[in-house]
Parts: sequence; structure tokens; C-alpha cells
Amino acid sequence: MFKEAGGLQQVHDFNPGEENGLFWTVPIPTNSVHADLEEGTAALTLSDFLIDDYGNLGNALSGGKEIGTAKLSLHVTWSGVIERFRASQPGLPTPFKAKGFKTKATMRWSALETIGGVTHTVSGDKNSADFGLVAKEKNGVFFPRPDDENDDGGNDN
Amino acid sequence: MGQIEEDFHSIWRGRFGDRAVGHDHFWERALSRRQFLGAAVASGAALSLPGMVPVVAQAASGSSLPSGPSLPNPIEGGTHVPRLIPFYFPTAPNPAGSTQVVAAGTGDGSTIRDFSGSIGVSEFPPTGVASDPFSGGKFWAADIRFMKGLYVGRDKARHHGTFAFI
Repeated sequence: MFKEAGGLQQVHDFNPGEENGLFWTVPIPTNSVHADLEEGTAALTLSDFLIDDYGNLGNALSGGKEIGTAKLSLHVTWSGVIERFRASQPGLPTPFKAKGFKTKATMRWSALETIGGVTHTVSGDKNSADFGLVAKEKNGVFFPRPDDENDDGGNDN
Repeated sequence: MGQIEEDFHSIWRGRFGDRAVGHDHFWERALSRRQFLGAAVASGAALSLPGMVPVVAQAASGSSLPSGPSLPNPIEGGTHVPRLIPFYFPTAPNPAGSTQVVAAGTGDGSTIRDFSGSIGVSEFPPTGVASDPFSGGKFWAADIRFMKGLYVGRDKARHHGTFAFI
């Protein structure tokens, strides 16, 4: 979150850290995500998700301490197909194949945060993404071999 | 400034311009911390901070979430710091100056590897209106993703799970 438009004067940076060996990626309950890959729609909902606030990206990436802890609730929806999406990158260190849709997406969120013993609510009004993607993907050991009859991660079938 | 720091710095400049970030040695310190974390992961060391666990969400679901050896491995490639945790920005080249971009189909939107399932990627610009009477924030931005499906964990076993990049 920023004090000024365009990403200036950042005052909150909510992220779950890297301590689990993944980059800002955490397990969530399965029912948090509903996706229809045939229609190109999906929704992600989190409620009261415990997360740290590092204040700004600089502090987060430089190993600084969190400034507070929050219960984050958010709702993201993907819908409104823009175009079909297909990718196959066998040469990458982790090869991947994907098939789906570029879509519109919207998100709204709120957080009940405690900073220095003071609890307050911050929130973000609904806004539209400048990029959205919903796809079926296979990467790494699941990257399809040429003779894989079950390959549905990017073929035309 | 080395190549790694330059990659991050270039992406930051692309998104937010030339304004200063943190202290004078911010990018170097960022690398040092990531090297430490990466080394811990590579050695199998378990790092656990209670604040990082989604306790409330987990309790609400009534089921346990993957942890420790049943967690997936991170992808390789992209904005890559050797021995550390790489990823791909959705609309910026990974690494800076390359042609690997998620939006172009040349970069991976998933942050976990050995994965087969559904993904959602969304990038929101810093134009969202925010309410923050405590700190005075007025605008928000975000990169939010999900990955749901089958994966091979660090224990070499296959698991089903759902993950969010926040």
C-alpha cells in the first residue's frame, strides 16, 4: 500500500516470507480456490489469513523485521476471457506447458492489523488487474513427453 | 552491483522508477538474506516462524496443510539468484533483459515445480484505492496467484495441495 499514486511512499507490504523454502508462496485450504478451466474463470478467497507486514518491499527483501501482523482477507476473481493462452517451454530449467486463457481479474481485500499494540483496519477497494491468466499447467517431472497420450497441458486436443 | 542485484534493481526501476529503496546497501543485503535462506533449504534445515503459518485459515478448513517434507520445491529459472528461491514476474522479463515473461508464455506463472494442475495469475497496478487511517495509505498494488493440483514434494512423494502466492 502506498501514500501516493504510482507506487510511491509504500507504507504496507504484506507477504508470507520465504522461510518455508518457497518465494512468498504458502499452502492454503483447498476450498479457497475454485477454477473452471473450460470457461476460463476462477476465484481465490482467503479469510483471516495470518500474514506479516514488512512495511515496504525494501525492508521485506533486505531481511528487516515485520512492522506488524495482520489477518488478511481477500477475494480475487478471474473472468471475462480476453484470448486463448498456450505455452510450451521445454528448454527452461523447469520446463512447463500450459493451456488456458488470458482473462480480466478483479480483487478487493481488507486486513485487521496490529502495529505496536494498536489494532486497526486497512482495506483496498475493488480494482482491475492489468494482467490475468487462468490455465492448466504441467511443469518439471510432469512436463509431457512427446509420446504422452494424457498430455492436456497445452495440446490442441 | 552484481548481475543478481542488477536484475532486481532493473525490475524495480521498471515498476516504480528510480526512487531509492531502503538503505545504501539494500540490494546487497537482500542478496545476503536470500543466500542464507537458500542454503538452509538446500541443506534440508527446517526454519519455522509461527507468524508465517496460516493458523486461522487452517483451523477453518478442518484439514491439515502441507508442511515440512510434504511441501513442494520452488521452480528453477526466471529471476534467478543462484542457490536461492527463483520466480517469474508476470509482465517483466525474467531475468531483466531476457525474453522470459509469464504474459508472453515464455515464463512460468507457477512458483512451485513438479506440478500438474490449475494456476491463476493476476497483477494489479498501484492504482487501487485504499483506506488506511493508521498509516495514510491511499493506493494498493498486488501480484496474487494460486496453484492447485498434484505435485511432488521434497519427500519425493506425490501430494495434492493448493498454494497461494501473496
